[in-house]
Amino acid sequence: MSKTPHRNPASGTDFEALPIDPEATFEQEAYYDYGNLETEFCGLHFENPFILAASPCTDELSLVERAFDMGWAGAVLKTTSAEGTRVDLAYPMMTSLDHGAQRLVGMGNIDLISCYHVDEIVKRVRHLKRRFPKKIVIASMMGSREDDWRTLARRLADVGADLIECSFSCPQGSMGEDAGKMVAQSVETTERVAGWVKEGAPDTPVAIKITPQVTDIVAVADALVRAGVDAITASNSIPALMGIDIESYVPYPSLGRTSTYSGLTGPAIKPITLRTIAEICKHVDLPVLGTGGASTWQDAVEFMLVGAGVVQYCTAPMHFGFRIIDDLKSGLSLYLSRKKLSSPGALRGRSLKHIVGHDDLPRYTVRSQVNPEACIGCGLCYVACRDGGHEAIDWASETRLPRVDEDRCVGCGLCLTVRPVRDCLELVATEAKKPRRDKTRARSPRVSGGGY
Amino acid sequence: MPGPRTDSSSTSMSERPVPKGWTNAQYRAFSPEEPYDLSQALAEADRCLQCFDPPCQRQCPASIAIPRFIRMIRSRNLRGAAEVVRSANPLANSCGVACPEEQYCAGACTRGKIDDALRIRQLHRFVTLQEERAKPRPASPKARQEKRVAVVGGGPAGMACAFELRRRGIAVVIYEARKQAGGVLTHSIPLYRFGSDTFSRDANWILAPAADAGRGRRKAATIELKTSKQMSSFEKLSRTFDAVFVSPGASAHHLPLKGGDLRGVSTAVEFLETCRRRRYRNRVGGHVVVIGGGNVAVDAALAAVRCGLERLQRSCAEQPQVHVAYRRSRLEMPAWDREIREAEEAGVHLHLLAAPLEIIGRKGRVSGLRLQQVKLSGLDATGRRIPVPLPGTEFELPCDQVLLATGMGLDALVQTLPCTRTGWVRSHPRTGLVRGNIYAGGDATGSDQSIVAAVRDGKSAAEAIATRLGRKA
Repeated sequence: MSKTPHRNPASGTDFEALPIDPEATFEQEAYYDYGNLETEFCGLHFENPFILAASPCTDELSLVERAFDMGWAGAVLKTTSAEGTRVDLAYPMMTSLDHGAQRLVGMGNIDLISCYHVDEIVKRVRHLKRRFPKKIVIASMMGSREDDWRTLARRLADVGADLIECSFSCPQGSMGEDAGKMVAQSVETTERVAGWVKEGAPDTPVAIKITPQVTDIVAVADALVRAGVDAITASNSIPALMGIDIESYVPYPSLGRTSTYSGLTGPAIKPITLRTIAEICKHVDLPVLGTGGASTWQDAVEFMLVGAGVVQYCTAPMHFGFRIIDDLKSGLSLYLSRKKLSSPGALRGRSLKHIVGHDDLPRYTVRSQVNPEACIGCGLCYVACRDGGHEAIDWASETRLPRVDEDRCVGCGLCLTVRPVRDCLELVATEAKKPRRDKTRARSPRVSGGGY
Repeated sequence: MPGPRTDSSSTSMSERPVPKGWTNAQYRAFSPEEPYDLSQALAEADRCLQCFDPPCQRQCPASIAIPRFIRMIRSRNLRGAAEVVRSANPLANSCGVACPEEQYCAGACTRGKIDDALRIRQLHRFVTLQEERAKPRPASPKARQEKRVAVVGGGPAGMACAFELRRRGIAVVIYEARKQAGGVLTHSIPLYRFGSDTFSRDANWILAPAADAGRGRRKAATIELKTSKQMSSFEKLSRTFDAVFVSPGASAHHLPLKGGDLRGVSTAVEFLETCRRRRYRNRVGGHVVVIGGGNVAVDAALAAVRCGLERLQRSCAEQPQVHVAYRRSRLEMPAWDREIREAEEAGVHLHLLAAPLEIIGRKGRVSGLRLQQVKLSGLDATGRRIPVPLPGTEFELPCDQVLLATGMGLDALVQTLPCTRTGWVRSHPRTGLVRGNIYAGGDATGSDQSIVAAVRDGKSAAEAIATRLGRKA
């Protein structure tokens, strides 16, 4: 708290600054009721659906305590392991994927699981549950031998962890059964190992954290159902090479003259996570903890709309700090009241019925239409359609107005994706045809688009 | 240090404290604008929409491919970006500091329809400054023509023309009347904004020997700088050279006003030159009236304010009261809107619709200016509204210094060329052709008064000359 006079650069006058507490939470000032944020998940009561993912955010007790004080409903403690497991970290480990001047559109890390072994984590769970009985304390764990998986699960369950999350999918390093492979990339191993964990902790909910990096995510989810686990955490960071220093030819992060593959997180992977959750929730009936790329409350809404019950955050608090919880809670709460929904749980899976196979999509005749009132004359739609579309937009240089040639426009919507302002272009459906029934295909593909 | 991005009208405040007795507005008006650093440039470049058929480029007299160089900034290809800028505008430093962007690119920027127009001039300046660290030199021309062209006047138009001709392999002799080339840019443009070495860095680039000079067998075409005392008449030049480009600039021509010979009366251009020479330590009157409404008038008024502040720092002198009297309304003022705003904020008083009648003197010195209120009626021959005096509205403004900025015209020698009704050299609007092999450009042809407009004149004349000479060869 500073009491020194500040100079206002605009007016040139001096004023006595009001004391500022940088630790103050929004909750102390809030006048809205956040009651509608409470939700039930896996038989647990969450005060809101926002929890911290297993990450550096949860690797120290003091960090978790601060996050709880600031309003996070729960935390997944960073993945622990059996005593004696070697965790050989390499630094530096973080890389930012930039877009223009925007930092951390994606974050790459070569971090490993926590250096704290199970003895320490057991102590922390006990401490946190005693100090914050209403917060959800989730312990994340990873073993290598059958015995480890059973013992770890039993010890964490015994000490009172609300939920046990098992990392089957940490792509950084490799601690799975086969060298260079994650547990969750093998359907058989997934089922077997999940079974051991569930046997170790029969009375505590167990969630398995899977990877989107598989051929068939539904097969993995089915295996988990057979193994009798209680929930799925979907999903995890995506194996990636973060970029290369084109001067030295060494990729990022460079450790001397070497580098390695990172796990990619952050806004860049959100669409992949959404697809993963949607596929799981369309095919199996397990509760899902959504994680991977959520950074705003809107992202959480989207995750829940495809079936997640609660949402984990990692890159966003690592970027901006735990204080983002103020906006997450406020934004979601006001959204829910606007939608007249009593709880975030009411959102769960509402979008799933809108996702169909490509074959089942209706065939519309749509055309792009320019709204001259809103058009600012940038010509981006023209050049996009000319060079990446169907040469269906004409350009009047004098008036700087684009004009859609109705005969050439197929309604692909590329022009809408490049428009810099809302409303300057819209797609207008001129007629709807009946969905085409193609009997020759036994099963519609779950994912469409993207193939060029 | 990367500072916060400032809004479109203000210059970024550096760490230097505001001098005692200066208002913030005065500090803004008299401080050099900080150039962007990399992070500011990247953030600003990010805002560019990359318009098709870009309106900014259409509005740029030098026709710089603005979206192209901004795209290069985004990919951090800063030298490529600088090449785009400088290949279109050899006076890249000068325009980077002093181009009235609101009149041109920024005024047309589509982004301005969403929020604020892009600071294109600052991006242009950023890449130019970045490139200068690498000490660039122009490559020698690919082809060489055994031709020589005379350029009369080494101001922006002449310099740009010479550079473009040399690029096309044509040797140039520049005739300059003053000790230093640069015209307005080295003699009267206010130092506090323009800086003392801005033009000279452009001149170094323009006059530098080609990067590969001496290595190749071909002798690179050169630009020679001569004093205009060695020059006789346009007719003679046009006979000895293959072509002549005339860009002598304009000189002050003011209304014949009663009392114009009193002590304390001078032209605003002379005053600006004195200010520059004496670093604003010259004496100004307690009450200064500038007559006129163009950029020169506004610059002179601001310079007078600055001189007062300079004196304030040395002694506790009273601040001069600075007035600008203009006989039309603010809308008709030829000065750029931003300059007028800045002057007003810095404490210059505007008297609009006030026509000067006579300068009153006492014992041979100025003691006041008699003015009359006017109203505006129909358009005159030049398309401007005619001020009509309102009887009985005469008033007197006491003052001890009068600066005349009522008009610019041509020197006697230039008047031997065919002239327009408004008193400028008559030249072809696109090629600058006057007659025979004589071309003209810059302020002498009554063009836009901006550096970049002069660059355009020089460039287009160079192109026309090169085409003509190439055809004859």
